[in-house]
Amino acid sequence: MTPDLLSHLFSIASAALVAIGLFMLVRSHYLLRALLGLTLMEAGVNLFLVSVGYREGAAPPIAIDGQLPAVMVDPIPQALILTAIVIGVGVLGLALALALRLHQSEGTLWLPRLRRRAQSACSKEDAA
Amino acid sequence: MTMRRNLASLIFTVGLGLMLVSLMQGSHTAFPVEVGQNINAAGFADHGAANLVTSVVLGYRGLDTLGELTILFVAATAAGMVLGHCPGGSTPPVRGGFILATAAELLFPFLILLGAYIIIHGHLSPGGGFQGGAVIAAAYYVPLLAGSGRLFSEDTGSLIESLAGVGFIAIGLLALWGGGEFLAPLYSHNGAPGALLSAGTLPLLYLAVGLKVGSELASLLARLGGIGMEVDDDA
Amino acid sequence: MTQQAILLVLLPLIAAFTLTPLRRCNPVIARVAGPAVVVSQVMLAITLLLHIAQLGPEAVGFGGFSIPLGIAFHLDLVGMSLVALAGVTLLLLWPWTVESDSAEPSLYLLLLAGASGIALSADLFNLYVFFEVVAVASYGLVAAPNSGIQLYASIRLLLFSAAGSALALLGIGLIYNLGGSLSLAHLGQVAAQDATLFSSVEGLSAFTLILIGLGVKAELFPANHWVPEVYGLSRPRVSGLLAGLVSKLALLILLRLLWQLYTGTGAEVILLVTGLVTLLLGELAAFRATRLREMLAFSSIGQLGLLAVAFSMGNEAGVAAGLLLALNHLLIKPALFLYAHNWRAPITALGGQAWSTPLASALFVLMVLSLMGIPPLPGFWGKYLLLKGVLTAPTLGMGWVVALILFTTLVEMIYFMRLLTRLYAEKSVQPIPPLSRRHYAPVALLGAGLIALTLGMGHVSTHLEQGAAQLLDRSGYRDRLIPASLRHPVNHFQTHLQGTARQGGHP
Repeated sequence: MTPDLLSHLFSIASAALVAIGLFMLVRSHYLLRALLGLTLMEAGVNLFLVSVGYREGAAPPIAIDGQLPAVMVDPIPQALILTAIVIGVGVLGLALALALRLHQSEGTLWLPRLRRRAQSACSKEDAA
Repeated sequence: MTMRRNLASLIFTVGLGLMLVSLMQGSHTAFPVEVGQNINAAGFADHGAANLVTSVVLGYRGLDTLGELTILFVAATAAGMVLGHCPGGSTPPVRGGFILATAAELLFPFLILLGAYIIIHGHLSPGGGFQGGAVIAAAYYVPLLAGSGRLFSEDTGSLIESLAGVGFIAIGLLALWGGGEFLAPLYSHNGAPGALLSAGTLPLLYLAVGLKVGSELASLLARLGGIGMEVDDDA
Repeated sequence: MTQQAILLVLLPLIAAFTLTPLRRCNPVIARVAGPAVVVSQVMLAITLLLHIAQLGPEAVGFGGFSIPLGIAFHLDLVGMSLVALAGVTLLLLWPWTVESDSAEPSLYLLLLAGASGIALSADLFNLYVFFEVVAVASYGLVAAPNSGIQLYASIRLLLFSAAGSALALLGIGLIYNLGGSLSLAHLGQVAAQDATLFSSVEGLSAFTLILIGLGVKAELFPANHWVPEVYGLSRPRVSGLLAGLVSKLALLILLRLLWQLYTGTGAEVILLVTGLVTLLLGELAAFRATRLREMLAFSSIGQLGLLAVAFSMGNEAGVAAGLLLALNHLLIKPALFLYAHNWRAPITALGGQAWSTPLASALFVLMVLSLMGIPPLPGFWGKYLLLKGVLTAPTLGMGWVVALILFTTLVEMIYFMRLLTRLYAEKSVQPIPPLSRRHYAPVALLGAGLIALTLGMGHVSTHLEQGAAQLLDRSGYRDRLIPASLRHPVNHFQTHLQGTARQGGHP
């Protein structure tokens, strides 16, 4: 595989992940599927970030036996996605916790139904 | 009607994807981003860490890492708050049988060992506090999945978590009170490059990160795993 | 002295990290520790603010690394005032009455740490990280009462906000790809050398992605669907925090990004149009609202649209107007949401409620009048300055912007006057007290702040102009942040960067 095609693959794959993820997030009626879309989107963004730092024929920026490789990839995007991945994990963990409790108290994760309940709860509260 | 909507969203998605591809095309022109190259050139001298990504994560962009630890902490705190008030109490996890339970218990020390290894070699090889912390959290989660009971104590976890967080900040503040700037590298030239005891305070920072990430993820997973969930009616 | 600025972030962080174990040892100390830390943080912020007011803005580096390798803070009047205001706002809306084992005080402290970071940081990715701290803390705060409805509101906010953050991160990646740096000052320098860099399609797309991403929290047009639902369902102090404080933080990031990187690239037109659409849709929706809370949520969208318009002007008058309107909104919205907690019935059922508590209602009227922009109140001066800014804007001196602002002000007046006349109609048979007892103190203090702002208008306005000038001062920002050795055009580092960046931007 030529390096050129490889780098095209990176941008195509990351764009596809972001687009599919956003689509799932916007269109899903089921909460867990929406969260899956969110995760896909984050994966696409991270793939893009790491491909920004990619250099042709470069080695990882790690010294072996005290010697750094001659050509190294950019270390900053790698550090950035490390941060971004951890942020994603934290948000996903919180979202799953919310989903669990929501399912316990409302018995469903079907978003349109939840929205209807929220609206009726709002107006009921107002009438009281 | 539904079909037309699906078609419309398909076109939207493909269009969005194509637009993003054209935007991201620039990424493969591979011009040397100068800041990264400068870090590649100077990072070894600045921190003495063989892994330059580590010197970015903990040195040059150490403040980001503190922020990231904070985000994990906020998420774990909020999740704990949400899950902590279960009205019926946490239902016991599903029991997984003798073979699974024994294997999980056998796996536990090895996973802890692997996690610790990844954390303390973070400045030398790929890995570090986040990756090692995740492995340690997994060590506590596997027995829970296998149904052999929980090994994780929430009180100890939260104590380790806060000590590790304060430790990270304290190492950063040491440099500040020594007349330098917050999170400046200390003792980075003691020890041969590539040796386990090198890179000054970076391994200590990564140890703090690893303990914090490990205890936070473990407590999050323990709480999530402690609650049973019935099959959804709408799925 | 200024090195201590990092303590503005660290103090609340340490407190939040240690609060859980501390609560187990001694619940009484744990209870007072949170507010005490916030108070000391505010005092430190004020000390630093006085220092800056005397000696001018300063840069603070971390780790001993110079820009662009490391991260730096830029301490200016606006950022530092926002830190102090954030602390005061959180203190006013502090959860005094929650049970002792609640995690809410920790979330407040973490929100404060994130807010301080956003107000001071001069690094794009660092801003993103602190913004996420604030965002995740706000999901937790919305979900805190733990009933099904609030959990739903929190999930709704989370889905919008996390998707927005992913898009913003994509934009940051594009900017790094174009400019090869994450430091706002360094990127500004790159942009100054190559004017076409950020006005390219990639550059403007990056800005748009960040605008959409941060626009979720700044309640800007395409990403603000969550606003009425979340503000309608969450508790009044949380709604007040989100509308009053968090939205301003998002706008401050956009403002810095716009004027450090995107001057004269057309990005200001994107922000202007977004702001105008947000303003129009928000005010029209508020006009149709049937409940006070809903009305406030939509009026908050309108106000933030107005702020976006002000910040897109790019002259001192416009930005100063934006700052004044932001301050006005920060003081008023949390208080109004506290009122809306008791007056939650449909507006048609609120007839004559104002007579039951004349003093509290008078304060309510004062706040609403300032939001509309009635002469001696700060809201009027904000709108007046804004119109002046629009008319003197370098390229955007467009009559229709003025017309739209005046039209939305008229709409705002109509729906608020309708509300006020209803409140002061015939005396009602069933008086509803406008405020719960524990809400009196924060509302009174916020009202006192508004009155003080009105009285000290002349004094404040010079500071606002100074703050606006600092925000727009690009060369000063760069001089302070970028070390002298990198500033000379002959420097190898820079010429190389310029050449490669051009190649990267326009293959």
